[in-house]
Amino acid sequence: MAHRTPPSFLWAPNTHHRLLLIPGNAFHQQSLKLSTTKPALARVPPGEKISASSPSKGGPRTRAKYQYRSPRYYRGRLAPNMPPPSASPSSRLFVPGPFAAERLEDHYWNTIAPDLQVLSYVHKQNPTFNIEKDYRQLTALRLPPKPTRQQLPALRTFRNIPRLMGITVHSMVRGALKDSAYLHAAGMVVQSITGVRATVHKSRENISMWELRAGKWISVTAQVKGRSAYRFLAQLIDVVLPRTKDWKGVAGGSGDSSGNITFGMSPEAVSMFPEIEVNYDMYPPRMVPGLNITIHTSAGNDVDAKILLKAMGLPFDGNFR
Amino acid sequence: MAKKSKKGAPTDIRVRLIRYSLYHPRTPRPLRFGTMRMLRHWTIHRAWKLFQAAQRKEREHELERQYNKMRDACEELRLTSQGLYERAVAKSTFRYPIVEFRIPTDTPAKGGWNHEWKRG
Repeated sequence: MAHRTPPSFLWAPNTHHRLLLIPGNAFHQQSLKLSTTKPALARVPPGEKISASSPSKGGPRTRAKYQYRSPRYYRGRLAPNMPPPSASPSSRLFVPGPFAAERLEDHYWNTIAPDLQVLSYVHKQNPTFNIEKDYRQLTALRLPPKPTRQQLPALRTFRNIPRLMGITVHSMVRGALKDSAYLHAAGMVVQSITGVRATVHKSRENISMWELRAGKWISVTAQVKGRSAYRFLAQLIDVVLPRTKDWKGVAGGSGDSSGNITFGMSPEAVSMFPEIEVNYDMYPPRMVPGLNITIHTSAGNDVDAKILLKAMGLPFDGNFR
Repeated sequence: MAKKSKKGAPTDIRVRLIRYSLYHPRTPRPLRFGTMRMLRHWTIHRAWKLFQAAQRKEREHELERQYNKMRDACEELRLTSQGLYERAVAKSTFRYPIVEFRIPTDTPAKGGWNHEWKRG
């Protein structure tokens, strides 16, 4: 494989040392002046030339007998052949890059994480042990403590400062019940703003008020993770949300009580994304959907998640609950 | 020639374009590298992974160092002066980071600092 040392036969046959032994060779003198590293390569006729960096370029062009084709899909651990790892350029999942640092990610690690650590610090003083008092208290007979429903507050240390884990973009398209073009346009919108292929979902329930029937393709989602999640959130905070009209901010009571904050965007706000705006005319009229955006954080509760997002610059409307 | 749907009305050209670009099966073949080019790619990839691991470790260590310093300072203050310590660790209900802080950029606005701004 590629991680081994390149075999020596790949390099061009080097006659450099043999030529050095012959003094007074005019051609040798000239070639030494022109290129000191590979004087012999210049004299090789183009048909027989072999490039050291890419040996396939020179030489007679004959296709190898054995053409290995990696499997298209991962078929389990016990399959006889495996697709290459996603970092390998021959993988179908290979994505080149990254080509730039994420500003929001750097800002988080440089500023926000230390700030949150200071703000959530609770000092636990070193334990002291009073032998007369504490020994009697600890050895006294007593009942076990009553179980309480109250949730213990998370102890924040440098290990569990809230982080951004990912973003889910979801859109339920009512028009998809009548015309699938609405669903396709929604998938295109979601794919172009997130850079992730959208997944299509069926409805699970019959809701007669919405004329919704189970088993119909109704919604698209896309999950953004890692670096692109930071990119997407920074784009929301800096570009899209400041341009939406009459929007006060994310509702202060938003959240699912485990640190995932959700808010909705109207179709007008969605069309403010630069990726949509540049070719807005390529979408059929009134087919740009509204979106539900869920921001997943590693904070265990909503308040800490909202403090994190507020520090990142996401506007909130009303007090946190 | 416009493609006709079942009802007879022609489908919007934009819808057809979206459907084509989403669902056509023509994907490019996987990228094949020669030995040396693959070796170069692999070397760069390993270096990038090493850099990322070092960066992650450095960030974690920096936070841990700050936490330990904070804890030591509080403990020192507690042993020095009980009153100062209690005032230092007293907590209000909510303590927010600076919400006016914007994400730093290499190309900031021309106006710079707005001295007239007041908290709304």
